[in-house]
Amino acid sequence: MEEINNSNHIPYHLIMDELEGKISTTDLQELESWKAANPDHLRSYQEILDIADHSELLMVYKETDPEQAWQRFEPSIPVETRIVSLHPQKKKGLPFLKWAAAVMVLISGAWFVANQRGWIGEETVRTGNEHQKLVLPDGTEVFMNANTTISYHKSGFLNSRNVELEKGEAYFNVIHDEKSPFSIKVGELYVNDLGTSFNLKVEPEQVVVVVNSGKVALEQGKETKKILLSAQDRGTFNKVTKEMSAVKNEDLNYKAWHDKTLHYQQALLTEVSDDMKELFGTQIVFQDSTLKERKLSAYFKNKSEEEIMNTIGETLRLKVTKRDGTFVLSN
Amino acid sequence: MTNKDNELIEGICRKDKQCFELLYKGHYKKLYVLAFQYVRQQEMAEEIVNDVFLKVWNDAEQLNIKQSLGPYLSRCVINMALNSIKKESRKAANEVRFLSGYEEYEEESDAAQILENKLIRLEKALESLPPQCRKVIMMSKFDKCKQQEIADALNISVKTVKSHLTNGYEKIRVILSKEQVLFFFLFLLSAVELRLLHLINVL
Repeated sequence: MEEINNSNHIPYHLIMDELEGKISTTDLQELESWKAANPDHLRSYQEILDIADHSELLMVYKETDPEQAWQRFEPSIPVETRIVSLHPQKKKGLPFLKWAAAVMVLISGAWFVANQRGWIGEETVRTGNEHQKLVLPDGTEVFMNANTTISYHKSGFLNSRNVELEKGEAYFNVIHDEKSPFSIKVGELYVNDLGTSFNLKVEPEQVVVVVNSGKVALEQGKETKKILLSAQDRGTFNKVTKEMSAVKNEDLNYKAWHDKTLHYQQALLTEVSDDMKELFGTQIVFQDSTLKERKLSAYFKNKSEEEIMNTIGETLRLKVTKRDGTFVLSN
Repeated sequence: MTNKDNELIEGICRKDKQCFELLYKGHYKKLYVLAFQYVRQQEMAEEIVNDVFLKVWNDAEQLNIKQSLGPYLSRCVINMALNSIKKESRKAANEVRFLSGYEEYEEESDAAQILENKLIRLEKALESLPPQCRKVIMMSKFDKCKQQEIADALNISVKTVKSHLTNGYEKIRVILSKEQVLFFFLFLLSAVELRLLHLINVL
């Protein structure tokens, strides 16, 4: 009986959304807490992922034709001699590869020069106090926060998708193209995207990347140092120590400036006040310092500064008064 | 199975290409899907399996015939797959996942055979589902359709797609977990049977 109950409560809809890579932050949290609630849950979850993965493998398996594979393979089998090297076909392929590589280098060199000549110059986009949406030649969307500078080469962009974020903050919605990686340069750090959406912010001492979906790689200069971030990971690059690190993102509102959505689960009012200040420039004064410790659970989407403040007041039964552009919260 | 493989290996030692062809075609599918499970790329998976078979063709005499061929081939494929993943450093995440799994991998077992059995069981479980439900699952995994795309294609609501997915996965999960126990015993039984056959042959 117990077991039947358990299986009936598997949140399939959440897992399916997760598999499709379009799960919302709230749903993901719900799923995570379900997984953590009981070891059996985790096991069921793993079983479902296995079924999904194996279904994919099953397709590959069924489409495989040993007959055709043999036809392709047969010519590479060495015929007579018994003293043969381990991978004869590879050795034969090597000089060809070298030539191919040389030709590729020449071609790409030629491309590069052609591009250089064709350049009208660097395109630089700066925002002041406003936000701006920038659509790059490949269709990638960049939502720029205020005081942000982004530059890229206009004509060469489709050949090498390189963008430089000089300062500020931006939310990227990158069009995936396996053949052409998307790379953002931030000082010494390269943020290489593997087809995804993420938020990138340059702070005085560090660069912060929060991934919403897909995968992102952080690479340092030409060195091999590299970390890979998945959805809901937060990666930082310390400009001083040059250290990179990754943790699970706990700030639900990292892209509030972009999607105008604020989401709180038992968050301290001081935290809310900081977000409001960043988002609207709202000044909040707590009449009693114990009020700062009060906790809020709420969800705001496309709400104005005043609407949010009023909701906070109603939820926590506080008095909200506005004086000279400053909100005062009192009991 | 083992006996037939042994005969084929003997043939390969004599450079009998027909024996090689039979061995190749007999093992290709499961080794290919095993390689694919690691590298997730069709061409690379094929290359890996072919390299393993070339090794068999070239070094057949040095193969230890006493050990059965299946586990040996699986191990070669896995090792080669891991090596090529290492080379492709951009797949760092996968590598970590598989390397950690690999440490627990028993040398004696035949990974390709185990995977093939699982896939065949999964196929049977899929076949036991109601047609529409099966279709939704196949579209979501085989054709990699999004829920919305499936809904549009079949002219049903996303909610219905979701409920098909839920019911389908749940049924498969129950069927497979029930079978797991049964198959373990069948596996033991067949192992004993093989040993017996082998004994009779020896006598």
